[in-house]
Amino acid sequence: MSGVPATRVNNAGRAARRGRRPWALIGVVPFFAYVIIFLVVPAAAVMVEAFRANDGSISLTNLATVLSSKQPWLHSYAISLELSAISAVIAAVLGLVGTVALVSSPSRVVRRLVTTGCGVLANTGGVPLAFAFIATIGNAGVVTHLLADIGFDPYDHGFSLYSFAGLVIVYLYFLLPLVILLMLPPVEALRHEWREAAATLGASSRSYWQKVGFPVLTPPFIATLMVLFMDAFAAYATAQALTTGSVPLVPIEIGSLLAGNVVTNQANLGDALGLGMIVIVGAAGALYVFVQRKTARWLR
Amino acid sequence: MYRGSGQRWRKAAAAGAAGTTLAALGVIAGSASIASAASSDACWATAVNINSCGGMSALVAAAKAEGTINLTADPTTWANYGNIMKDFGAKYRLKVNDFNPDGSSAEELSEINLDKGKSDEPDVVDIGNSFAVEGVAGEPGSFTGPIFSPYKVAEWSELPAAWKNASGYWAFDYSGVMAIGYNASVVKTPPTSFASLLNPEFKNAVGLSNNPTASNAGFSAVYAAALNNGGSLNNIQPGIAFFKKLSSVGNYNPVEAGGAGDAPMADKTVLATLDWTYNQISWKQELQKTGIDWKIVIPAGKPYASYYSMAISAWAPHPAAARLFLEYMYSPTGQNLWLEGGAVPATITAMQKAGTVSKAAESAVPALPGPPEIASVAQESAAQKVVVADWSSAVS
Repeated sequence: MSGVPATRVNNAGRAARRGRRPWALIGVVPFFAYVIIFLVVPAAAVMVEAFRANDGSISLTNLATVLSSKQPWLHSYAISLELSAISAVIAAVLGLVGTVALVSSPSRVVRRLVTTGCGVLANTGGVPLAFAFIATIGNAGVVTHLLADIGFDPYDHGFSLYSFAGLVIVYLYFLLPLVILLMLPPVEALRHEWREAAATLGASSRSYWQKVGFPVLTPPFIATLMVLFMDAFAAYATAQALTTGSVPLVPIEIGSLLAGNVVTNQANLGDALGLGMIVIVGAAGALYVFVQRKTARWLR
Repeated sequence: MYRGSGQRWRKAAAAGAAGTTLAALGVIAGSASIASAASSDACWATAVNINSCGGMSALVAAAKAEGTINLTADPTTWANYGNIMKDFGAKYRLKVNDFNPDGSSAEELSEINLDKGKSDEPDVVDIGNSFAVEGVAGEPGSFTGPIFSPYKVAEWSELPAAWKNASGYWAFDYSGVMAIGYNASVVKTPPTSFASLLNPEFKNAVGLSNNPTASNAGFSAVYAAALNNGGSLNNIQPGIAFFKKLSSVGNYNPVEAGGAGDAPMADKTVLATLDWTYNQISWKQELQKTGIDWKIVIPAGKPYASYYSMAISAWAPHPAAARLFLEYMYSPTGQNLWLEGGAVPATITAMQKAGTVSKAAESAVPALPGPPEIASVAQESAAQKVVVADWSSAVS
């Protein structure tokens, strides 16, 4: 790829950058200020309040309540984890297939259209998305009526949008485009020169994928899975509008405890539930960072 | 020339003296009015009833001097608040702010505590009764009560003792009655009771305003179901069992039917909902515009009502305007405005005796089959614990 000249350029660049470092730090101050105020401080507040009992003292009662098998919270965590994991895996697999198809398309226009479209769809969510799905495949939706006219009403055969399965379908709407956006760079980085080089060395298609393709793609694939998992785990407004808690999810229950009209004096329990979410998302995020380090090697 | 300038000097000096005197008088008068406004504001900030600081006219003057009132969490489609805010603002020429119109009672208490000293601190809050009690008792680890300013309106004696705080920190203001609203354009047999919601006609079509663990309306629907299925104010389990049955026959639709707007009713996803009379009336008016005839019926059996409470913030930036709003809302004018929105006002019995119920308001609330049942704070919080523990397993 590049030889000695590039190394010399890199050294020169590095030297120049070292001299400029103090100025560069000023540029990141606004970003860090924003992150600290809106991310670090609230997260720290949640973590501290989780250990406060109803009488104001520091105690572990809230954690004990959350982890107790007699309470419904562990079950909610299980359902939340299940929903996030299943949506993430389905989206990742389907999205990978879509990305490979997109990369093999010769038309730049198609690629640009799809990427832009994915950028929009990946950020769609919340109440508008829920109502859009209710209007199409809800029990009185347009598509449902069309299918009923043909004689196959999905709601008569056990399907319901307002269930776990329905939530997976709705989550796929914004998770799939996210996969395409995240997997495009790694799949594009799988240069066909490598394929040709492997072929000249006598590798079959199968050993190419086994020895080159999948090892290169696996770290970014796992990283993408982590991002999808975190995105689905923290989704609130869509699930709230669609199921209002009939599928027990942790973000919805935190909402009931902290900002509802029914339960009083249980805010610290809500913080404890939030602490659990931070721990889970933190673990997924740590795995993401670890895997990204391995990926970066191949994308230079 | 010199003579003219001398005269000019005298004229200038006279004009200057007159101007200065006028200015001084103006400043004195202005500071006197500011001082009196400030001192009357200070008086109203701790006034416990209307006679403390000079009666209604002084209150109106002080409120007008303040010029603004901060309300919060009052959706315009809830209990006729749209008209209430407009009428109050027009009558006393005050600017009516409504921050966070879709806020919850919990958020209203947070706003009182967190916005102290800022211009958007709420003056008056309208909250669920358990939150009013919490506002007086305080929440350990969060805030010490009371966070309200005590005030007893002119009609204080008309309210039963159980409907108000003895020191004046809060009082019941209006109540809804749990009612069934249904799409009369589509539904062939009108539902008249809880049992009729189990009919196959309502497959996937019976909704609640929101999750019973998060919304008072949803929770009250479960309580009402309990009262009419063998339960009582002390036993909400039959209500949860009713919704479990509704879910197992496939009639329960878990979307937010009302909590996030009336879209599910407008597109016929939900054909019947259980919600407060005042919400059903506002959905009726909204859905009329899309051609849907939304009818309201109080289910046969024991009616269930739950009162909201009104309180003044202890750090209200406009204490006179806050007290004027309470006097307005508890007077027959305000109480009739609530009744027109389908909310039964707290002084309805006294108003019926005195004949001050307006004709327009009388027809708004459907006739009740009997006296409504109202849960105490203790009964409510015990029932809430049961619902929070059992709801999702019942309907999932």
